[in-house]
Amino acid sequence: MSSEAENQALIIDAGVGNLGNLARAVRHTGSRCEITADPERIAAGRRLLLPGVGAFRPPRETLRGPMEEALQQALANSAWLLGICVGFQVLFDSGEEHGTLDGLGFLPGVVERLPEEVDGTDVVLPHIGWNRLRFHRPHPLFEGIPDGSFFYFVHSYAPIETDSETALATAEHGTEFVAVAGRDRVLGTQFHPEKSGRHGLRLLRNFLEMA
Amino acid sequence: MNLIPAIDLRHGEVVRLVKGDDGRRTRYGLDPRQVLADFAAAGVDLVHVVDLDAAFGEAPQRQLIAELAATDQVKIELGGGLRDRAAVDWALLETGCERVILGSLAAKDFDAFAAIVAAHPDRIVPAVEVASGALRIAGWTQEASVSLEELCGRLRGLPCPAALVTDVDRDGTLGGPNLELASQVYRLSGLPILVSGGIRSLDDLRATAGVDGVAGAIVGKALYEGAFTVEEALRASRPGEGSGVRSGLTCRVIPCLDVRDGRVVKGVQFENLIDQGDPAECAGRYDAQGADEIVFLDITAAPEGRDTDREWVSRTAEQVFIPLTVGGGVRKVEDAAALLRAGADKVAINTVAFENPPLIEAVARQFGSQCMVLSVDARRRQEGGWEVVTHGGRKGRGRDAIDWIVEGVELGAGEILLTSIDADGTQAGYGLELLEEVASRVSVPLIASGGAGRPEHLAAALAAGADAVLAASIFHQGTYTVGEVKGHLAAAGFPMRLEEQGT
Repeated sequence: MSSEAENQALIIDAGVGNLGNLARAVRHTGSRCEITADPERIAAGRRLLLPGVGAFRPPRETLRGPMEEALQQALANSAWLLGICVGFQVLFDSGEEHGTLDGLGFLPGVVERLPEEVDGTDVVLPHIGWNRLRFHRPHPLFEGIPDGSFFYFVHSYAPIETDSETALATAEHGTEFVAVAGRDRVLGTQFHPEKSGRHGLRLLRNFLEMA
Repeated sequence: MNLIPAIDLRHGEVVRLVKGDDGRRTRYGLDPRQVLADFAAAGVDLVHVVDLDAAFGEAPQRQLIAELAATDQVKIELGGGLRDRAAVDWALLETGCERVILGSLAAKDFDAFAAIVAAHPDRIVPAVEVASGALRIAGWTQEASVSLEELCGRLRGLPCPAALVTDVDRDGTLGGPNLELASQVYRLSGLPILVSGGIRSLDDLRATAGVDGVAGAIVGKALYEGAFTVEEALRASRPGEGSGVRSGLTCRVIPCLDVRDGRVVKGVQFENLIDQGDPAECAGRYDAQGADEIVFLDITAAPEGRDTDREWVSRTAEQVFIPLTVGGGVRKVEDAAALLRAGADKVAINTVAFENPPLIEAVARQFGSQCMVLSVDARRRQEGGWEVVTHGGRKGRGRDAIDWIVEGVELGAGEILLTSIDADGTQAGYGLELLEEVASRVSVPLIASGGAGRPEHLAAALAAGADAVLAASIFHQGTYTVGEVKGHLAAAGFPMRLEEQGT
């Protein structure tokens, strides 16, 4: 394996969603990237991105088996992983969309539906649009990004709680939820950095530079 | 914006004059003490009390005013006939009035006015009263000797809490507020503006609240004559406070670009199209101005032309990293797939979805509801309600628009892009009743479209329940930048994503 191939970003194709825009954003930050569903490539990867849109189950089921083993192997070999949106949600212990389903268990917590109603007032769902992050602690992922910056979200489910070490930033929509989480080299964002303007691009670049 | 109900006192009674003319007086037969108590009970914070007797040079109604100002339930600003230091001292020191309005004095003897302001900082509100473009004084009966520009220039920097702006021609007429005048005085004086005169509806209040620099609206006749209740007026005056659900989610401003054969075009009713440039460049410009999202409407005439030219979508997605929605020409799931692959984040489907509703379900199932924007054009029906129109607004379909939208959401539409055909192209404001109705019926995000001409129109649409506002001409004509519009909306209390732009 050449070092060049190791240094490029791998976008894991879990069979859902549009990976092209993430690839475009990664390339825009100056990194090379490749979209792959090949467990061998994933196992050897160093900078892994796991995107996803839609429901929790399809990407979870796609990952089960060889791809999940490849991910674990990569992490054991000091790879870095960034989950995005549903790709972020599947990193947690379990998800409750259409029945409870186990997640990858890399991060502690349960992915739940955001509240549909608060004190008798409807909450607009899906949560679509730009929402403000509240940083819980400094992190290299946030380098150059002011606390309170806006990112673009599209989802109805989210990890509402995790442990205080894992929660890096939260946002609020009817309830406070975990918007950025990380433990060791496993990180994730509930929003779409590839659609969040320059702050989103900066966050992607920060991840790729950390890894 | 602060809602400030007015109590005009003439011979101890609540009255209302038309254009300040004592001969055109309406007596409401109400006890001012009771009216004040009612305002306080409704949650009003400040009441505008005018002593018309004093304004017309008769004996001031001091005993009554002192009695009203003695209440601690609500604050009072007093105007009318306060022409010297002694009268102001009385109101501010001997009664419980919060602040006073001085009109004539600033225009007649600015030095005397400035001395009073210095003695009572933050408690003197200069009144700028204009009829037919000229300043008026002395109960509006005389023309002033200074110009509007001169007076406002002198007011700049004084420690006044606000300036009261009255268009005498509209006062008591329910003719609509003069918001241009309010903006002008704000620009010239830099003081927060209280708008007075002509407010007739909740929409007027919402529009007033959306004007940059406006801090309050004084409402009289419309309240007394039942155009709306105080409670409704209070809600309409604080449009940005929303539903009370705690959320950091911001309202979105979305420029819409028409694309034909891979170029951005501008025209009226698809005619006289003028080339406006490259889609990627136009989108990049709006992104730099702070656009929250971009909608492209592909109006390429020949369907085969669309299929072969998606290159502009990819080129835009290579350079613009905010959400991109593409509408036009999606007939089947494969068309949506091709657009998403090319770089669109969402597809908007209008006529084809109406004629083939299962397409909504199929696109939502395959790519997720978040990709499936249902675009609906609605036209008001004579018998009430709205009907769906398709084919760019040309073909009435007879179907109730609200029913169709509810069905579309059930089928899986993740957002509704709603165009009022009645308002579209008028630049006179969005179809607010339609928005209110749809917002009350569906819980997915609602994008308002059609009719934007001024920032207050966007504010009114958001206040009516839209989650996002789409506009084309006001941005393309350069009337406002996206950033300017977002600044207005933020000033009106709407949560906006305002960040230093650029890379």
